[in-house]
Amino acid sequence: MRRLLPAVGVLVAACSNIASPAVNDIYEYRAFEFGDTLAFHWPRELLPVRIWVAADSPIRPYVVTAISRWQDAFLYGEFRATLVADSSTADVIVRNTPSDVGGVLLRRPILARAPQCNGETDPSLDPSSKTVQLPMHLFMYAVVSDAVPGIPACYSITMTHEVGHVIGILAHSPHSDDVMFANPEFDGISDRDRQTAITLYHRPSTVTVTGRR
Amino acid sequence: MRLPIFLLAALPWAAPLGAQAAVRLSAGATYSSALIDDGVLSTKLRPAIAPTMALGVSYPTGKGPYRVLADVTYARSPLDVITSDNSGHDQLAAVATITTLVLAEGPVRGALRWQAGGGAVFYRPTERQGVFQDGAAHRWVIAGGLTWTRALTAAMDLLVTARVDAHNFTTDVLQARGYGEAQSVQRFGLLVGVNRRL
Ligand SMILES: [Zn+2]
Repeated sequence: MRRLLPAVGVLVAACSNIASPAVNDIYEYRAFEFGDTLAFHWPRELLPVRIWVAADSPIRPYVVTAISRWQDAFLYGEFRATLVADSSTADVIVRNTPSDVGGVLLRRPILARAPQCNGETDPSLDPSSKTVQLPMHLFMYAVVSDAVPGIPACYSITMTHEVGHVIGILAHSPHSDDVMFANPEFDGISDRDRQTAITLYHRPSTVTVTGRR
Repeated sequence: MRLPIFLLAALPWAAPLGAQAAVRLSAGATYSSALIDDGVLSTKLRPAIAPTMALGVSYPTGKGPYRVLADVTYARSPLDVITSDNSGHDQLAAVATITTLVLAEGPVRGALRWQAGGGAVFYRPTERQGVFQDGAAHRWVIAGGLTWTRALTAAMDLLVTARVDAHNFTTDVLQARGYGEAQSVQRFGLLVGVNRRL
């Protein structure tokens, strides 16, 4: 039996869980419509979210960066997205033009403005039925010539902000150092943005998603 | 983390000239406990049961019944996300582990032998994602187990290995985000193969 002691020692190695940090530095991420509270996040069964942007679009690299930034905010794959080649199968359609959507569903463009470019996200969220009707639409476009030096930074900030709405942050941060500030200046995802997104994905969604193609 | 002293001590063991080395090739499966058990987000991240391959070389340490074994094990499986806060279950991209061990081995009774030692486990994610968004990670590991052999031919044995190992898991992104300490992870492997004397 004495010969077995080394192996037994491995079996009784100390068991302990990692010490998780608190997630409490957040801002309001929900929308309030008609006295009702709307909280939305993508359900795991719909991941990865399929995003379409034209292969030759000048804003495509900023979409890639924004997806990567928000994916990396999470440790357990709560939000994942992939680019698709066919817009008819997309959950989110991204265009380098001003918004041209309108129609039967309530549209709530959420605008982000920087001096050189604009962004608009239409989450296709109907507060009366509490549904998101896919596809969502995201628009980002320059308001000055594409040759103006500030355009790349504006695109980077604005696309990250708009994809923040796509993942389900339906409100704006009151803090100017967050990318989800209404008129964002921060190019990245702050700790507060990250903790807000994590909180959103670990609390119930009150909205269901319909219309996936 | 420093290399365990017993591992260093095992390396220079010299066998007498003419002693019989052996090569082992095995296949089986590995179960792992959770890499992360996040009490705040009510989420566990656990590798699915992983198909496993192992290659080892053993060498006698003297005239006695003891041997030293250098062993490399490869396992690969997706990561299961298990939640208890209604955010759903999911499976993330596969992670491969390469475990390199140096083990001492001695007799228990009959064809049964014990193993004990240590080494390192290398995590190689197939996608930079979640806790592996910074890419590969490695941790020191301690291991032990039992083997059972039965002669098949004059030079070859059937070999069954049951092994358990333990390590503390963390990654750069976990530390950067304030996760303290580390998650203790235990893995259990069952392998069947052959031992070929050289
Ligand atoms: Zn906005």
